[in-house]
Amino acid sequence: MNQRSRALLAAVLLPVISVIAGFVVAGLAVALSGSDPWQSFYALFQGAFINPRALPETLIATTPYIFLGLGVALGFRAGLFNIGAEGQFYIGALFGVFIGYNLHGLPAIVHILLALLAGILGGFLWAAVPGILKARFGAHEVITTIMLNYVAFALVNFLINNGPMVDKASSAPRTPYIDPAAQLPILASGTRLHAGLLLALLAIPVIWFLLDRTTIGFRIRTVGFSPTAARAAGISVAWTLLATMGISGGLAGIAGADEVLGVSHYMPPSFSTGYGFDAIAVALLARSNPWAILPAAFLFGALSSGSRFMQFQTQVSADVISVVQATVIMFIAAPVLFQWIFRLRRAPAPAIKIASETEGAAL
Amino acid sequence: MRKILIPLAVVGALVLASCGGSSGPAASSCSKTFKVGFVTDIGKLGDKGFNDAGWKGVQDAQADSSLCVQGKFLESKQPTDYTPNIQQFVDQKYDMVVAAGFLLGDDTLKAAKANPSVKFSIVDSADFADPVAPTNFTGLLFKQDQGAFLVGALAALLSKTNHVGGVYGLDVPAVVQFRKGYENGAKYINPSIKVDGVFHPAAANAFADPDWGKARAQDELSGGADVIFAAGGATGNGALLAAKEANKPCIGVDVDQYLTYPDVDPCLVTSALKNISVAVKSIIASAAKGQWPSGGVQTFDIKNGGVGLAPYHDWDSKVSADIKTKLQDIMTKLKDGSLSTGAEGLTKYS
Repeated sequence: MNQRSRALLAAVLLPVISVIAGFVVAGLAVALSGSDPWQSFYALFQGAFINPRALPETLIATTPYIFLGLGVALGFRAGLFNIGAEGQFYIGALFGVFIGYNLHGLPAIVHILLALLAGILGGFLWAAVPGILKARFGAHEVITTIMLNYVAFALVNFLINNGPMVDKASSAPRTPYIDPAAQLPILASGTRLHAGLLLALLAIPVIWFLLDRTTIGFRIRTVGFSPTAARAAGISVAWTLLATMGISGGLAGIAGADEVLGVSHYMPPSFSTGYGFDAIAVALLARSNPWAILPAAFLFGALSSGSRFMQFQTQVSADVISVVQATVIMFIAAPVLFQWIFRLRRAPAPAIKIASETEGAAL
Repeated sequence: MRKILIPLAVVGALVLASCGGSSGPAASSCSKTFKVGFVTDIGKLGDKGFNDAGWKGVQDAQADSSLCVQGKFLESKQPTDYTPNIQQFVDQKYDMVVAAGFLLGDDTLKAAKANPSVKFSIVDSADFADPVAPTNFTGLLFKQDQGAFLVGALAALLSKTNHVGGVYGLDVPAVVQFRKGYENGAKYINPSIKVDGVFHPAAANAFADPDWGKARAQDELSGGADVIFAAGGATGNGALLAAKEANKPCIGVDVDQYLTYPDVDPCLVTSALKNISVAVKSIIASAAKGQWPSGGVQTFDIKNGGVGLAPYHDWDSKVSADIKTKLQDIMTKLKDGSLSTGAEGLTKYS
């Protein structure tokens, strides 16, 4: 086996082993909670692929994971750890729903495009703040993006929980419904599967092209590989970091707007519970490769939609499925441990390198 | 490869060894089971509120063997789970879906319209955006004014200063009925009694502002009130805490707060209950027996046990037999309709 195929094997094998290990440990958790792991995982499989509406529901859940996973992966490639995808997702949804319910009488294609662009803008602006702080002052993006998540949650809570964006005609705290023209078209009748999936699938080659075939992509990868070398080569590290953060946030923002326009058609104050955080695992599992985001996002989508039928069959807590996801993340986050356990040859270094604060400040 | 497979096989064997013995709820000696699905809101089970109380109602219905009910729950992790969770039960040919609370109102109503052969019921929600609810849809409402009237009377009977107080959440119909019911109950015992009361002024955190609630209760206590009734979520909890610190009796709301907020147990005489589990069990029983109510709304009051007083717990020995008799008398009169709270269906406080 030559070096190259060995590396490829490791790149494919490690994520697969991580997922299997995640299921094994989760199986133990299910068993400890008093249910049959085989029955549970069979139900999970049925609920994700076999049952009526199962596959469409899996694809619906896959869609935000693709956008968000691409966004986080893009950050990784520049050495940025964007933990703020969840907050950017919220702000994107907020901007999208605002355009969605305030405009009326537009042709559907115009209204949808405007709302999606608003979502991108929201996520872009929200991510640009830590981008600027990083590029100008060297403030670490892990800290600033985490903090901005809470600002986003609080802002959304203020606006929608009895604030200026609440639907006064409803007893539940939520925005008004978006205009029917702003709703993404349904792809298969009798299901909720919406055209957002196509946009997400389109985003994969776009981001791949951006990273692998454009100057900006080259800069992103160079900065991720070594900011010092990038600077020596005449690349503006500050601008590259800012642009990466902005695009990453834009992808999170379109995910949020897409959820509003395609799935809920309104926005409640607590819109997501962790899509943006799960996306970090999606990006890690895909090793920041845009093409690999698709199977990784599909896996998380399947776990999310299959867990419904798993709970239906076994009546175990919905949290058990989170154990599967968490274990997968844990096993991915510790590749060194795995390489040690299975004596695998060292895989190509993942492009996750967090530039130090001094590097940023020196720009 | 073998090095990979061996550890996996070991763990796999461990999983296998721990398998077996799963048991699902199964109805016995029933020719046909009536299948009920319960969908929580994002608070999920374990919230000591809507969700737990609603699910207990389903379990109580299941425990009643004459009903032949089989119940299952689905927890919602995010609001976009409401529709697919409801749909899951519909797809599995369930006879009835119960939704826990007003957050699911829109999604439940939509599902009810799309699936006329399935019964839908929702706790504490009737003011939908769409006023024309289909006949397979029933909102469960509570006459909170009756419970409030009872605790108002109790407060008046306990007061030594002839002055009682109340601290409330937002100025919305349910809370207005709590306040007016409490005040009318106190005045029913003693027409000359002074009753303080204050609504939370801000909208955003009206039910989540314990500091404000505590300060208002302290105002009322220092003004001479010696019993505090609190109806306003966490805001009310702050008021209860103020009464406890001042060693004055306090009265809780919605659930038996002796169990859910033990910090104030020393002052908590009772709570004005909304028995969500009773309401849920009752609507399931009606549906299972083929006696589905028409009219879109099912009201729960003191007569059918939907509202009432929580146990006195530590105060059982401190509330005199005379007071208990008087309250019993009021309860009887509210039940037979010879006494009205004067706050029924009230939407504006005046």
